[in-house]
Amino acid sequence: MATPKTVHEDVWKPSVCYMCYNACNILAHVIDGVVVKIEGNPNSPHNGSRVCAKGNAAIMGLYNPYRVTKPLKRTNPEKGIGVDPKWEVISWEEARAVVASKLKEIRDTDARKLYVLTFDMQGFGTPGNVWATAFGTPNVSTGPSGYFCGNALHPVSWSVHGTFFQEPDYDYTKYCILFGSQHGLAAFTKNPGGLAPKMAEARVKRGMKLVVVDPYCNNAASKANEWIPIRPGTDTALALAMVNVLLNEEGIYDREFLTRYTNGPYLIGPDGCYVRDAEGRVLVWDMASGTPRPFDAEGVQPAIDGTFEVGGAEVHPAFHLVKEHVKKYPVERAEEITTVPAATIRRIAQEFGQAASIGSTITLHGKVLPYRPAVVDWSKGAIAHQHGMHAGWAIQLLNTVIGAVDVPGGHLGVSAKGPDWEPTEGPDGMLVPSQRIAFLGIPYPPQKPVAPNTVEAAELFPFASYAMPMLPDVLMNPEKYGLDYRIEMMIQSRSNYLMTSVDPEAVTEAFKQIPFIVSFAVNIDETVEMADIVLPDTHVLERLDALPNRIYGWILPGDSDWYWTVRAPVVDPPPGVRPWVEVLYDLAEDIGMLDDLYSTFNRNLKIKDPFKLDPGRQHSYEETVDAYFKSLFGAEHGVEWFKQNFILKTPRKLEEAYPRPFLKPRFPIYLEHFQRQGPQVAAVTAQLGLEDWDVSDYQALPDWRPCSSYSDRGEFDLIAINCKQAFHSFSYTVDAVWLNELTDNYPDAKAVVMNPDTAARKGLRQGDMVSVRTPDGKEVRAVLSLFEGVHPEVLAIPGVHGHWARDRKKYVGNPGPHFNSLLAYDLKYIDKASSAFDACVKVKVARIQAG
Amino acid sequence: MKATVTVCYTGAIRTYTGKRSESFDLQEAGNLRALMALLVARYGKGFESRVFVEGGGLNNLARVLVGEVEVPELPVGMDTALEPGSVVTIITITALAGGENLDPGVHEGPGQRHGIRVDQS
Ligand code: SF4
Repeated sequence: MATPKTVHEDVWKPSVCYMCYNACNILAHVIDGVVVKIEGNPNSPHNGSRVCAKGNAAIMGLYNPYRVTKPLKRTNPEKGIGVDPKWEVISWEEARAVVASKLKEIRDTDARKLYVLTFDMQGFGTPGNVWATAFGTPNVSTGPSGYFCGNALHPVSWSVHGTFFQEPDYDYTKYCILFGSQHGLAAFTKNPGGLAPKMAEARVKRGMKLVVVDPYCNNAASKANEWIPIRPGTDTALALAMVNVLLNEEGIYDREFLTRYTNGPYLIGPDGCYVRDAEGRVLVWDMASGTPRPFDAEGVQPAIDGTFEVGGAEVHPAFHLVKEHVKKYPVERAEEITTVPAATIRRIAQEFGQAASIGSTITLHGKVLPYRPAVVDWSKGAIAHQHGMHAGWAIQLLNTVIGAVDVPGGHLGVSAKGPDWEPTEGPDGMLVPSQRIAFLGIPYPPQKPVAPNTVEAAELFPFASYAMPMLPDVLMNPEKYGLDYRIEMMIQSRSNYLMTSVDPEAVTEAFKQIPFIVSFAVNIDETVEMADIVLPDTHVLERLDALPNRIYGWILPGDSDWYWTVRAPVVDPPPGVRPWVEVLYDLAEDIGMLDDLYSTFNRNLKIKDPFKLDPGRQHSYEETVDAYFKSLFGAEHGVEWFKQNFILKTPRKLEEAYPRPFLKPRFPIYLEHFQRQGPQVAAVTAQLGLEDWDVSDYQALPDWRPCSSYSDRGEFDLIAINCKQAFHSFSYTVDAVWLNELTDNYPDAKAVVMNPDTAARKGLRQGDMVSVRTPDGKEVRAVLSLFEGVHPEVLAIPGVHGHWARDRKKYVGNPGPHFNSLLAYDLKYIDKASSAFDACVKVKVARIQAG
Repeated sequence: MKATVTVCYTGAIRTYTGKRSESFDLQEAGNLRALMALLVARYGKGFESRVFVEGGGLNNLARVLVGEVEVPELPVGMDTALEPGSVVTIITITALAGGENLDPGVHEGPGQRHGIRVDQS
């Protein structure tokens, strides 16, 4: 009989999940240094005791036998999809020397030639900003997520709320419409652990109605009161038609809110610009005096509709123009565009408007606030299109006209106002996000478009937060964008660009332009296979990341505490495996930039005395995090405190939870400055010789415009879309094999999914092997699955499948179709306002083999 | 000997200036605004757009410090007079995900605004 093993350690250690970006707070059960179970942290205000399948399965990534544990060097100079890199194991010393020498050479000549590609925003974000700033390169980007992510969401959220993220207020709302979003019901940033219970409670306690607009009956739609199937890329038309019903049929809008908190009263002249007085102050029409007066004049009573005369010209308040503009979208026209029946559009708009109960108030913590328990939220499904920026603005108008912005029951910015930060009043009295939480590009005050200096050419997208989809074209043709350098080195981590952007062949060619690629990797994915040097990185359960529940994004909004957490290692990494940020900080010493690193650290993060890093000596990475924490939270709240106690909470005041009634700056319903940027971008692009750069989307009010997939479909009669799976994030969750087993047992997970009526018309049957082709000559092959929950004109392709990396093929099983391989890389598919890449494509489907 | 101020560049702004630091004659750049105008004239629109937004405010990814004090915290901001030996630092942040440098409202002792809530895991 075997002797029972003596257990020396049996503990539950707190940390933060990173199988998606929601940053759920977890407890890992560790027995003798081995993680045996992961559960939610019942003490967490973020997700409580709940974790999803991915969070549970993180263990399998930790113990994946194909993990990289030693530095590797490529010996095959040929690079390409399916090409064996012929890795050779090398020592850390050799790897570090090679990498340091290249970094030093670049920093000493032209720091821009280093490009850092990662979506590790929670781990790399803060220390990485510091490192890259000290190095001197402007070329750091968030990876392929920037193709279809918040491209058209963040600029709207920054403008309206003054925050990076926005969320419905499930604590108080009674009517919620999701456009192309699985808010609270799937993962990524949409906190199923925290929000799904709130949604359930809202339905039980307040009878909240949930309506989901999506071409595919996704997780969220399957839980909704009503699923509204819509033709892909037409959400703008639906939203504008609903606004038209509210404003012009029902007369439902919050006049007081629009007058006080938006630029609705600002007078607009015949040129589409604000009407100003001789001193440049924006004018409104004062109903009391019957004259134009500055918007902020004492006692002014602005009109928000009507036609007036100023200086001999006919002028209108901005809101008047909105009201007139949406008349272009009667429900009958919207039905033609969207396929949503006119009666449904009208009914949903009416229900939404009535639920808003304009004029009602609620008393919270003894204070009376406006109460608008109706909200619309959207996500990438609605905005990852050729004219995505307009979709974001059109949908947000629904919240704005009913006054449901940053008030109980409405649409909330996550963190606009805090204990010592709040939006400020910028030019023309308009909202500027607090600099304390503003990062990436923010749209106001307006940025000036200039000739690019960066490899994203983000300078040509002055309203956007980033311009990631430009990367392949700029890498291939830097001179076309006026760049006087080429990228010579890429450092890459947690960003499988080849699979999660578009057109792997085009991206491969672009990456071949980079002479030296270093990947920090847990596993060898499709992008890592392009590397020259691979350095072993830690799994998320082995890392120390400061504040993963970032205050500007990954926390709950509304009437709850502020909270700060740490992603602490729950087990040691295998010998020789090191966190990539720690290695970068070590490399700073090798290349002689410690001084710059520490002074930038102290200044960028406003490190207080006595916690400032001393440029005279080297600090370990943990010491830098410790200094950061102590500077923020006080001497007793260093890394050790967080490791022991994990969550630090401070109460959020009512005016921080629902800031709008407490804020003076206004936000736009009419994008005057955006409109003015169009000609500026046109001038810069013309100077660069980019003659066909389309700036027609730079207009003050949103309009629906068709994606390429909308018209002239001919034999390419279906529109292929990607639908997200709750049990996978991007491509990296396949390294946790439990999730692959789950996927293989889920009927539609690796199929292409079609409506049965459509299939019958085509003579196709469940289980047929089919070919899916696009007019650009792209093709994927997959098994056909039939499901009534797909719009009849749509072919839904779930997840990110179709892995071809050599290691992954050993444990992924059936690869399934890769949706992104259907999207040809072409600038015409990029929204020139938001940089979103169009994620719908027309296809024809033909049987290859009967099922 | 001429009285001078030193300007240090951190971050990608160096790719416009081509140097890490330089000195200016105080007569040319008597206050911060005049100094910045001089730099914009010397280094062009790219430099300007990295540091300023329309209307003349600072870009959210730019920091300008006189000594160790940032412009928003200087009593007269861009009108701050420069003195012989002043060091002006211009940092353009390479932003991926920002840094949390806000006051979380955790204060001990007198003047405490919020209590800290610690729940043991
Ligand atoms: S939602 Fe995301 S962060 Fe939360 S448990 Fe699931 S994978 Fe982890």
